[in-house]
Amino acid sequence: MSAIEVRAEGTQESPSAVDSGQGFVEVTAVVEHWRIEVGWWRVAPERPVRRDYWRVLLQDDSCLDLRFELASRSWSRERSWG
Amino acid sequence: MSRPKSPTRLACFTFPHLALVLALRAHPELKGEPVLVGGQGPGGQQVVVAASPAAWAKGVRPSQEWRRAQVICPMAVRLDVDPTAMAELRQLARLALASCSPLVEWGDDASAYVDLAGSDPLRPEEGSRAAHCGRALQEVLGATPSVGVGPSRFSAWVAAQMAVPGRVRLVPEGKAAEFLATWPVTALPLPPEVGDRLIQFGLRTCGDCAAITLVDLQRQFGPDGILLHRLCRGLDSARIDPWREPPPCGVRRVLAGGVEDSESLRFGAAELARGLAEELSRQGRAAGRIRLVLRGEGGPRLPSPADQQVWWGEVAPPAPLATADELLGPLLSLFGRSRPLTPVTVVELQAFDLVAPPVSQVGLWQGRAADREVVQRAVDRLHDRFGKGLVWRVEVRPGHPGDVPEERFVWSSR
Amino acid sequence: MEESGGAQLHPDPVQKFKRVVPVSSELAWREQGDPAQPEVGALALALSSLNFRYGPGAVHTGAPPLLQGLATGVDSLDNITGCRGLPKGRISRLAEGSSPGAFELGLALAAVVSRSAAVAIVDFTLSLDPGNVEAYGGELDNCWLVRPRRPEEGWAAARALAKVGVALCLLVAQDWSRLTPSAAPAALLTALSEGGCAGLVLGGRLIPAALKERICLELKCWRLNWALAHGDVCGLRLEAQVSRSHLGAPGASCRLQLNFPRPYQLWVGLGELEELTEGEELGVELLRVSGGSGR
Repeated sequence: MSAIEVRAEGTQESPSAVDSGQGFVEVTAVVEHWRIEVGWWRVAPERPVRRDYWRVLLQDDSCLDLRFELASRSWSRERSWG
Repeated sequence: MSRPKSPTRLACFTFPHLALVLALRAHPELKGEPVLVGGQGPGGQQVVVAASPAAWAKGVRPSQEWRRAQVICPMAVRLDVDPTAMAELRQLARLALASCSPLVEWGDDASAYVDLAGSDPLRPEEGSRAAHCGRALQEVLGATPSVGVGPSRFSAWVAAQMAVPGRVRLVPEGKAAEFLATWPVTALPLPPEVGDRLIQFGLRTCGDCAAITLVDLQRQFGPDGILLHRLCRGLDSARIDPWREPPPCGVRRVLAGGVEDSESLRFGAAELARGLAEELSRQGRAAGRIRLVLRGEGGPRLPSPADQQVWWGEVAPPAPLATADELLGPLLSLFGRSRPLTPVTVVELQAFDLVAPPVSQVGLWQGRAADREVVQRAVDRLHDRFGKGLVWRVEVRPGHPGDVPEERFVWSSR
Repeated sequence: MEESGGAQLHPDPVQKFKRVVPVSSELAWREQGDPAQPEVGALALALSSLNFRYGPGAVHTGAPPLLQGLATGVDSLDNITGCRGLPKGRISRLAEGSSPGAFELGLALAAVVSRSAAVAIVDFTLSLDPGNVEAYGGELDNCWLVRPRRPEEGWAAARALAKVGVALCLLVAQDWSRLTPSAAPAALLTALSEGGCAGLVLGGRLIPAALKERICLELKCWRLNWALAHGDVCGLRLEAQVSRSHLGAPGASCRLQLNFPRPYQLWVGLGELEELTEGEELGVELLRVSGGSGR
């Protein structure tokens, strides 16, 4: 998992382009989207886990799982498929 | 016609505790001062292993708890026991006594028994035989033992307690009861409550107890009464549990030309391990401790840390080692630690503390269990060489619901 | 690297080796006299260096000994390798084709093997997620993950674990040129032979010569298309082709389906790619790959 730059749009912050390292690549399809909210009982410095996951297909035919932390509003690459 | 059986005659040698001998060797300026040598007791707590006569006079006794000893004798110098040096000195002392008699029993690192039975044309008198053993022991320890000779263990021990260091006290045959008559009952090797009850009965010495019949003593004290009866009359056991020098177990390789690089020496580790494993297998034993000795040219037979021409190191793993596979890991770690100062010409691998090899039933139903052990041993060797954190096992965290991916697994490096 | 249409025929491997053997004129004269007798001297030296370089048994007289293969569990893949699986005692490689697929195939193979035997994964990238292996149905309990701080640690660990007989030793890196000490591949090959272990190299576009010449089997893999179901990418269809092999002529290929773990999957992991009938295709959308440029 590593930090990644993502352009998002819409009220749901849906990713529209992902930085592949050689420039932004368009998202051709959002395959799946789910949210995790767990650990509400945790106190600082641990925080509850609140994040969105997006499974996207890019224009270069790669399939990525992206993670968006709702608290810190940061994107990271969770998983590459294929 | 059968020859009459010669009466048993045991010699008991008492000397300063080995730990104290070593402490005073290392710090001769402490002679005459109160010195406490500490170590781990059977329960893992810190206890007094040995105390100098000055500390003894203050009331410190071996096996006392360390804190209590510090309270009793706060001015005492405190030193730690050196198990390796003690093991070496113990071995030398045993060998010294074994050179005088084949039947030697080592006591508690402060006493030893030797059976003086048999004949010695050079020393026909038992006193001279006992003195000869005492001199051999004195040469090794550097401390003068007290020697007592008697028909039984207890009588020989009491004689040694009464003897002056450097002298032999003889208990004539048939005179043991008379000799022990004035020995106080509180100094008998019995539970303290037995001694207290004897005092309450007005029985203060062995002579007083010897006048009581066996039946009465047994009625009052049970099995302790039987032992009391025998001790007071000098009729306790006259047998000793002889120590046998274990057959040497080791392998030795002479190298063609000196080798300076310890990395190059490691290449021979597998062969050494195989050789020692074969030797252990032949004896049906496993090694509790292994020692690697690297000798340079002209090195002496006996290694010592001060010797500049050899390097030696020991390792005592948690479980006894029997197979080449098991020996290889600790051996490689010894090679890794080695720092030979001169080119090495002889490599020796020795096994000590030989025990029966452990038995483990491996994977009767699951063949994979045996593989895992082998792989784990290889991983242990890698960790030894490169440090922990190289090879990891990953397990799913128990009870994890699977929501948060990074919390799903537990990583361990062992 | 662009994939050409047909298979490239390589010269017979034994002939190829003979050409590189430095045969002196004196030796050639002696061989002409009695070619059947293996001579002590330059020929024996050459044979032993070839066996050392390419693996024991690479050059031999008579019929070649059968090389054992580590079964992958997928018949079509086992059939193209030449030894019914990944060759034991040898190093194989999964190389990226025109589009990615080799990495996922490598992880899936590790997962398959881990279900029945020990697997060592030497992760020079320090970023491999063991969840990937578990996701393809692997048994993490049988996996030993090596994360070397220095390249020599990784190679030493691979040798040590191969020698004790793990079934598969998977080495993963992004740039092999900086991670491969010159003697490491030869030493690994010896260890693999000793332990009867299959070695598999994964990742990286280019590999150094010291490693390349010791690779017994190279499979080039590329993605055909995604398998979609219920609006989700549920699998990967890929093709694997033998691009280099010491065990037979290259060119054989097979198609595989790799099912990702999804709640609705009937099975997860590597399997045969079955050609779907028109009726069956209705349930599954196929997303065509369009001019894939790779990573």
